[in-house]
Amino acid sequence: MYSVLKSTLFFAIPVLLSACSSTDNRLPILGERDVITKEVNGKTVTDTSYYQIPAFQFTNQDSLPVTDKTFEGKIYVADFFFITCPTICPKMKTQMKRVYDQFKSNPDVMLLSYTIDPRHDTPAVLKEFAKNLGVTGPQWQFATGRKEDIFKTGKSYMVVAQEDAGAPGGLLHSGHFVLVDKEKHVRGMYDGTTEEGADKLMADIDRLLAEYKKQ
Amino acid sequence: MRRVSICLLAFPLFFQTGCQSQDELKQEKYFVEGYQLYTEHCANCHQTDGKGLEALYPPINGSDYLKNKEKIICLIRYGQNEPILVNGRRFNRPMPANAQLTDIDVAEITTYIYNKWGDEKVITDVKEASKALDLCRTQLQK
Repeated sequence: MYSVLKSTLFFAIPVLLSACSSTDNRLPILGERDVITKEVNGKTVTDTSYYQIPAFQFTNQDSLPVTDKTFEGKIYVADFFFITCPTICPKMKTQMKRVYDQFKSNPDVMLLSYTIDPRHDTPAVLKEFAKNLGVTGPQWQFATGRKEDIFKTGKSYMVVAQEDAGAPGGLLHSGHFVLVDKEKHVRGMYDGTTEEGADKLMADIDRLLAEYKKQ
Repeated sequence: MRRVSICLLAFPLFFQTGCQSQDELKQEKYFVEGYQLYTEHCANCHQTDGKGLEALYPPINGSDYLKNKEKIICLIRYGQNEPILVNGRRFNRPMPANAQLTDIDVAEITTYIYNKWGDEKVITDVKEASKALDLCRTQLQK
């Protein structure tokens, strides 16, 4: 199952990367972009509009709303998982915990894990899971809601999250961590199942934080 | 001359490996295959170093639960649905069954675990694993 996802991503990466510009070591902005022409003070100006993560609304591990507004002024890492998943999820949570420990005291960084099995993963179950993982406070949000909405949100992060009778646990999802900046642009995608992937993500979070410091 | 001396050096080596006893070969096979099976079926949760993950997945490395070898053999294949106490800590999450593991697979994983983290120098033979597995299967059916 995982190899299918991997090959899909390999296919997708060159397409995504072709959209990047690498001036002064900035991280690329991934996803589709549009060139818009508008009139400012009588002059015609062209501008690039980058893809942004659309608005969403779910419920977190404290039964409180978690929305795009929760991450205003923050950079964050999103992933998709489910608690009873026996295959890649424990690996992803092992790696995401490393990211959490690394940026625990940083108020500019948040984490967001969407469950794709909301029937089992209720806020109370997510809370227990977070506690057992050693996660306290609101920095790492666990989101649950309507399954269709979560699958749709998965697409908006350019990752796979869907039902699949052939997959272990009956659900198929990508093992990727998605790095989102304060403007809701996707700035990187990482293999969340390996130490190397998480290392790269942590290095890129530092780079992204440095971009905002320069401004 | 040089070639001769290399041959002379290589010959005893060849004989030495050739002289490795059947038991040693068997132990090596169990350990290596056990390591591969562990990596594939167990390490996602219990981690490569066997130390588990926080309060989610209990450790195997340094675990006092290793004293229950027959239970370990059972739960490798049949999973565990009750809370488990490891080193004084309670773990509530069920462990999924691995019904696809054969008796020899379970014996090799057990050998790997006990040779690596349980101070054992001998293998857990497939006969021993089968006996424990038969016993817990009948208990589970009751």
